[in-house]
Amino acid sequence: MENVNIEEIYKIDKERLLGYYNRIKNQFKFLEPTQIIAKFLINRSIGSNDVFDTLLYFKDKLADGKELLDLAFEWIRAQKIRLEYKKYLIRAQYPHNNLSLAVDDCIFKFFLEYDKYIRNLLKEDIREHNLSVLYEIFFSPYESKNLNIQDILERHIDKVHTHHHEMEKINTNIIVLRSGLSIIVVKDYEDVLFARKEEKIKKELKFKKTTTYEIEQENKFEGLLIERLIKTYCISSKEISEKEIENAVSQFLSSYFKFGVLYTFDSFKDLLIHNLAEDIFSGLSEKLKQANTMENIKYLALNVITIFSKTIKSKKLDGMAWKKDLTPLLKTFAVKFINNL
Amino acid sequence: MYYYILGVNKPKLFEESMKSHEKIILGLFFADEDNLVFDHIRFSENFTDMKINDIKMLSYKFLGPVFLTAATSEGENWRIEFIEASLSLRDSIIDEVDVLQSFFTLNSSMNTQEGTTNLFALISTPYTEDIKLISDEISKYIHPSINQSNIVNESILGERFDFNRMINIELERGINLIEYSLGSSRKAYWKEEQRYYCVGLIERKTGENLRLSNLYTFDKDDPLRRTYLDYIPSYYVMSILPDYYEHLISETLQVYDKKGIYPNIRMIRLRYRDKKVVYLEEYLFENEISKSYGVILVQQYEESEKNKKLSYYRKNLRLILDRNKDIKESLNLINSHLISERWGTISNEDLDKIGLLLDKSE
Repeated sequence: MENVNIEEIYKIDKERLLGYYNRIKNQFKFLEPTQIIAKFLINRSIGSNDVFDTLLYFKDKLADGKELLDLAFEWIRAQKIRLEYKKYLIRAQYPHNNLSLAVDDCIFKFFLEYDKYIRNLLKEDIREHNLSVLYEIFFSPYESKNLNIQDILERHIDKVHTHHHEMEKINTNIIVLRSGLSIIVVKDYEDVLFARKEEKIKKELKFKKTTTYEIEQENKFEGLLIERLIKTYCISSKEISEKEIENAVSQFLSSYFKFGVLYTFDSFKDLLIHNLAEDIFSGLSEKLKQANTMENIKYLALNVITIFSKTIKSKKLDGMAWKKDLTPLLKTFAVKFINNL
Repeated sequence: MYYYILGVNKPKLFEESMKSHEKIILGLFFADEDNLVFDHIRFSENFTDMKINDIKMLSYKFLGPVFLTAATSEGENWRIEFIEASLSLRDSIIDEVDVLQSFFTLNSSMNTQEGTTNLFALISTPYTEDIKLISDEISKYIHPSINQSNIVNESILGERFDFNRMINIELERGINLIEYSLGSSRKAYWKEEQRYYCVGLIERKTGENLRLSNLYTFDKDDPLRRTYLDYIPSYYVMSILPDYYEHLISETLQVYDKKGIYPNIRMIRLRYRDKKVVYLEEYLFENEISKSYGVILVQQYEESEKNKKLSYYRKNLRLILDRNKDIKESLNLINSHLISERWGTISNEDLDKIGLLLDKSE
């Protein structure tokens, strides 16, 4: 009954999808079936080149009577669920921006019943980390480029255990759901918070412009995610993945650099060092603030930026180009900084 | 889309979610097979230590009968799944804006390889809550999550596993989730209408210097008395529950400084495997005395015209109260097999008599 509900609530037009799949199949007769399904998914904007490896990995883990095409359809359905979940999250207001609450609320409302449903697709004796891997792959944003199955497996295999009582598997579905989805929900909710903050600033500026006098928008780097990430690390000492750090750095740079606008290196260098140091410093606990003063952090950032300035060929670039060049540099800097805390 | 099915209209605004701990009563109690109780209770920071101690005792008091039913029913581990009280404001000088409107408790029991665990929630808020949503959160998410965390953490951490830490984290997550759901108005969910057979009527009167409670049921020699004993925890337990919980709820309201609000038991649901018992009560407050009638109902186990819907009993209880019918006539309305012999349910002597004569199994 509950399984029927998932298919009813998050409907996908299987007939139409099958028609499209058959067209691809006829077009690429020389390809292997798994390659055809991978192509079908990529053409539906699901995943990237990693899709093929993911399909191969799950191929022998499907329940009797299920095929890779069923997995592909469920992948498409998962993105539909993601859309509904995102719509909900955009409107959610968790007290004190409690991220654990966001995870629990979303898992309870969107993924708990789904877990029962999707387990029918896979063999009963499948090891639980495969499910948390599947959740991470299925519910990551479709634009995610880094969904390499081996990387994801590496992260889950030692963390998500399968428990047995005598011969019977013990149900630990909620813990598995949390393992697979926590990072996704937290990242999505942080994006929502960031978007809200931006919207609020925009509104305030608009209000000021129309009611008082025109003030030039203060242009600065704002590392909301960097600050939160370091704060989380200081409180829980939880390991932070490089991917999360990269996202935070990317958000920090995006808050300043605009596509289509040219910037000279000297016009933002000092501001970048200052804002980066500010955001990192405000994320530190009181105890760590004593060991890492603002000036120290600025000094460390200055060293990195100075070395970088010697390698750049052009001093005037588009905002997106600066972001692309600076992301790996600042990511390495942030990783080293966090590791040394 | 999915959250419509689950009964959530829309995510609430931050302001709505930020309910002051002073305006609601919210507690989550966890108890395992050894009756060890862990709790997480919201209360005002302004409460004195004495008050906090009183609040901390609530878990034991509310869970008491949950254990009691297990102890008195010779192996049949009955669970009190749900208790609901209606609240009435009897003091016109109360000027508190957010007067409490709903008061209920929910209990989830789960059997694990370590034994049975109970998760009990005590909730009172100024809203008419969506009880099913909260019940689902407790039984499908929070309680399983505690048991699963126990297994997973113990296996990963081995000797370093700290049960206290784990349970406190899980209870805090649980209480946050429940608190976030509060304020969704109650919804009518589709479910198959069950029919029930009435095995007893409880008459209660409470006032400033008055406390009276009587049970009316089958004749002690009527075979029906023995037949239906298998479908309830015992006549003894069913007799004490309404009075016990009504007083406990009243005490809870006082501990939380909710003056001028008085509780009346509305419904108690119990279950043992596929057996279900519902206690349904209606009250009338007149001349400073609260008078109530409640029926002990057993879920239909065989098709019979004598089995009625809950609405039927609710309507007749109201009729008995409003028209002030005499007890014989009232019993006849509910179930003609019930007789007007009165069994007191307040004093220990009276209760012992019920245990001896009505709960005997031969």
